[in-house]
Amino acid sequence: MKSNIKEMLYMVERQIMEITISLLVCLGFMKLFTGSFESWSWYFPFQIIGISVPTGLCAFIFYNKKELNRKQFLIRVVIHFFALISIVLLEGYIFSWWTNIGGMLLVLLIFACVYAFVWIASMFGDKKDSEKINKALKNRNSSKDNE
Amino acid sequence: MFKINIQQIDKDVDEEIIIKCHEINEEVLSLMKLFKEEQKAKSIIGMHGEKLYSLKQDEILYIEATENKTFIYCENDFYESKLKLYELEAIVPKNNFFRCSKSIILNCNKINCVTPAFNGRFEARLINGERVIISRQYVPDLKKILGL
Repeated sequence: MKSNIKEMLYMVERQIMEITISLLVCLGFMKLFTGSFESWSWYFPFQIIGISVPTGLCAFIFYNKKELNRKQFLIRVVIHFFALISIVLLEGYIFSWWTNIGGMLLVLLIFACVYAFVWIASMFGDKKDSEKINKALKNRNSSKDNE
Repeated sequence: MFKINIQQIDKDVDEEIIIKCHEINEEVLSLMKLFKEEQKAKSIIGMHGEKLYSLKQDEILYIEATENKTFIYCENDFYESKLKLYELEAIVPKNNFFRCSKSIILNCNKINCVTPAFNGRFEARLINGERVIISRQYVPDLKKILGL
């Protein structure tokens, strides 16, 4: 039980970091490609934190005492996605991120890109991990064969 | 002083230790005790039908607890154990066996390869083709055994 919560807290922390970095990278590129080089307002870092912390905390949606099966997991991914969209829309509305519907759609598109990036990064990390484990297993098995 | 004679035999013949002595004295008894303890430490008792089997630890693929019973899975057969999963976890060597989920202890030497599953989990393919899920929280334990 304790280790589950510890694992969950680690996941939340990781999500907050990944979301913050992804937001900064995406917004940086957006600024670069749109050619608007004016500096961001003083409250910009707080907006980033205002997004990354609550969305990171949404990782608790995946918390379960028992191991989630594939179906349960996919349902929670959908709930997670819509919970995050709600947070983004609410914060966007409060800080006036858009002036028309097109602006709102652009924000949602950026959000979808960030969401996809976080999952792809996580999958990529797992793939790298599995490669390392397989290499270590291979070395271990070959050294056992030589004994 | 005993003369030590080691004879290598085929894999299909049962291994045995024969002590040839003039009399069964303290020395012979302590030797027997030593061998028995060594064997006991390296084997686990499994039940198949009415019969009890002494299973070598390196024969075991994984141990699973399900519906208040504990099963020991070997390459071609499975056995029931009277011990609980945590009791078996205390017996098996930590450098080979690790908890891969709440209900399974896996022998790391019997893993052929791992592939990522969803949600940070991994799927281990064993030498007999069986697949076992390694939960996200236990992946660091496998890495530790492998020195990663």
